[in-house]
Amino acid sequence: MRWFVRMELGLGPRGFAENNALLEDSGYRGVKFWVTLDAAYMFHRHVGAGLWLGMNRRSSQPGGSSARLNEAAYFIGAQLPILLWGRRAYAFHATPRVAFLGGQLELDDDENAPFQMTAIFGGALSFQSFTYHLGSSIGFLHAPAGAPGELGRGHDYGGLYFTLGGTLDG
Amino acid sequence: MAERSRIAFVALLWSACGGDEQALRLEQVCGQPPVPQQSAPCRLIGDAQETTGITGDSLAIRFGSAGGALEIRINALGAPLEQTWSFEVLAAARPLRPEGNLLVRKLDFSSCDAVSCPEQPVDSQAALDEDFQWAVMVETIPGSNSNPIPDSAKLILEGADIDIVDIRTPGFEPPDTDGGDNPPTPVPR
Repeated sequence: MRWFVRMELGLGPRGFAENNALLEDSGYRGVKFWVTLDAAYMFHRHVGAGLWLGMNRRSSQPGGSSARLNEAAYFIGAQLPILLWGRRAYAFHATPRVAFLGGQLELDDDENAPFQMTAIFGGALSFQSFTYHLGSSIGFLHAPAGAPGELGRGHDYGGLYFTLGGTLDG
Repeated sequence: MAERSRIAFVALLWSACGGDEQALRLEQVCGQPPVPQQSAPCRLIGDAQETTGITGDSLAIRFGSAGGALEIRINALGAPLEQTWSFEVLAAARPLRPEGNLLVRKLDFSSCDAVSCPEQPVDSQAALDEDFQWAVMVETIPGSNSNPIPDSAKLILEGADIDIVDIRTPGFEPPDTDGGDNPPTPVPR
């Protein structure tokens, strides 16, 4: 295998920063939905390099009559997949990643909250079967941004996530 | 055992999906336009200013170092019309003052007649630190039990160097509104 392309869908909890906890204190919970697409060229049997992009989104409206909260983030960056064990049929990869993220945290009203930009890093442990075009990953993304509002605290647009997806390779 | 696991799973799922707590009631109570023929639901006094809170477009209140107050019309909270009610504030101190950052709560029922107004408790206060916390400012007192409360009855929060990002009335479910589709309007000073 010289290259692969992978698309994954997943779920995860909120980020770990103080503002994320504050939102939860205020009643906003909900699961974060993730979509990622990545591709890499394996220049060595065990090491490759490639692109990684994706988005995550969460929406929450506690009690039905509260203002709905929407959190969305979009990211693009580079990755370094490392084959830890296996071959084309069954393979374990560890993949460190760095990227650039644009995120927005806002209430569902006529007012738009500004986008926040930040550099991020993270990684994933993946189990792939390129033979069967299937895979699964546990990922982590550290995406610290400043306080979204004047009195808020630092917000993290990342977090832990678990994904399932499909692969193509050549 | 299986039943208990099922209940725990449903509780976890419900919690993950948002549960039934109201969120950002400060936005709901103080961010809505006033109802015709009623006074504004909230008023800022002294060194208090409207700003944004835990999102870039949510309403929050900051009491500056000279000291300020937020006056909330009791009727706008809804909960005091119940049999009992309580009131909490999600607040933090910034910067910390040597003498401490105290958030003081007063209830002004001075214009009420004895029949319709709920019991007026003594003032209460909460000491705040730099971490946001839910400060209990009214701890389960009798409400008016559906008797009307005059618009002039107020709940007043006072303090200096205090950030307020939310309020809540535990156990009270406000009537369904438009879900926050109206933009927040400035709190009158």
